[in-house]
Amino acid sequence: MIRRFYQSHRALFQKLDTLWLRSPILTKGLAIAPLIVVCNSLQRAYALSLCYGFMLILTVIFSRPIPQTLPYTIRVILDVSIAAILFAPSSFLTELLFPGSLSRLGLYLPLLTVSSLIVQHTPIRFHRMPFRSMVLDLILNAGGFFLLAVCMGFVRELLGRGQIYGTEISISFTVPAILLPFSGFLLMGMAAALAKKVYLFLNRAPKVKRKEKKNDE
Amino acid sequence: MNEFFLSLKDAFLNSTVTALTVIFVENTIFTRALGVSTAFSLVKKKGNIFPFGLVLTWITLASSFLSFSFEPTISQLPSAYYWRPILYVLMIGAVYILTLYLCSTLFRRFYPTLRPMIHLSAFNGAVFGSMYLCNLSRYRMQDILPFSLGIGIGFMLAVYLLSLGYDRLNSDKISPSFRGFPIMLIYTGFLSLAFYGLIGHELAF
Repeated sequence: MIRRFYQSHRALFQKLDTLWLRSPILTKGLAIAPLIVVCNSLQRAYALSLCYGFMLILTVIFSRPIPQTLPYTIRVILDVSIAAILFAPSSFLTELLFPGSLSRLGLYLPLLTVSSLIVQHTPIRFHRMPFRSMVLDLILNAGGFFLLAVCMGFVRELLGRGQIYGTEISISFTVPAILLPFSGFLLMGMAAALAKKVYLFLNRAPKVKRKEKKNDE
Repeated sequence: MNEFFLSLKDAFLNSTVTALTVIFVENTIFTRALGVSTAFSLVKKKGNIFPFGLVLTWITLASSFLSFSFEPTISQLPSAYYWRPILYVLMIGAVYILTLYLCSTLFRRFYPTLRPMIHLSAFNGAVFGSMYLCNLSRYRMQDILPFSLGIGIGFMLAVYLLSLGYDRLNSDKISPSFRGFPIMLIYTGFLSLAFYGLIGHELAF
């Protein structure tokens, strides 16, 4: 029933797939480094998501007027420069709302400036879309990053420290190793596999058609 | 004369230790996850790993050298934390343009092959991260070269290890849900665990 509903509204859901099922983070590993290394608590997840969403959306919108006739190299440098300029207010806002996050996130917060979504996708994808579609795509990309960061942060903080947003939760044991980068890779791999599983399920041909295919063979 | 050779020997040993530490103990991909998306795009074409590594090493060396040279000035700026990204981006941009120019004039024969690699490696997480790490680790001028070599060689080694597993992990024997990117992440996680065994603790960032 869910699959039928998805397939009958495929045009709508394909736009929303950027949020999770076809998120560039889970399909191509773009902007994945901060999620793997430092996103091991809910507060860090919120801080990263706020900074990244702010920078991504505004960078792509403000860099849209840059003429497409300029060489690719110059356009990329201008795009990333705009992201770097926007880093100041976004990180200031992040520190205001989540005190101490600048020191906790280290170099992974400034690293968002050169995330692959901004460097590679801005000239070849975002700027080729109509403005409204572009803004929707950006919001979905930022939303996808937020969802993934919150899931990662929640699971790692709960199992690694026995806390949720700094509040102690009484659980029988903790696994501190889940706070380390290698666990980030493993958890991200599981999340990517889950998204792919759901996507393949939703896009699989209905049973009747599959039986007809088998009979034809 | 003896003192000269002794100091040269010490400098060489220190450089070697720095480079080996950066390659194995502080590997860019396995311990800091810098440049992961670029690495995954490279594993499909093994032939590109070495030339890409050379380009990345050069850009890292030049950018780290620039960031080290300007760090005394940058650290004296008010709110230097907020100025650093834009200044680093401008430094990388200058190195990017210089690299394209040098390749188009000195390596004309290889320029069509090298150009996409330069585009991919310029604003790479490994390059940007190395500029921050240079200052975080308080390296001296003579440590910049082995550090940059370590970043480049460590990146090449990591991508090579990933490419060895890619063909097997992308086969029909792997479940469709895990095939391709998900299983590569899990494979990277296990390699990262092995590298963590060399360090024994989380690295500073």
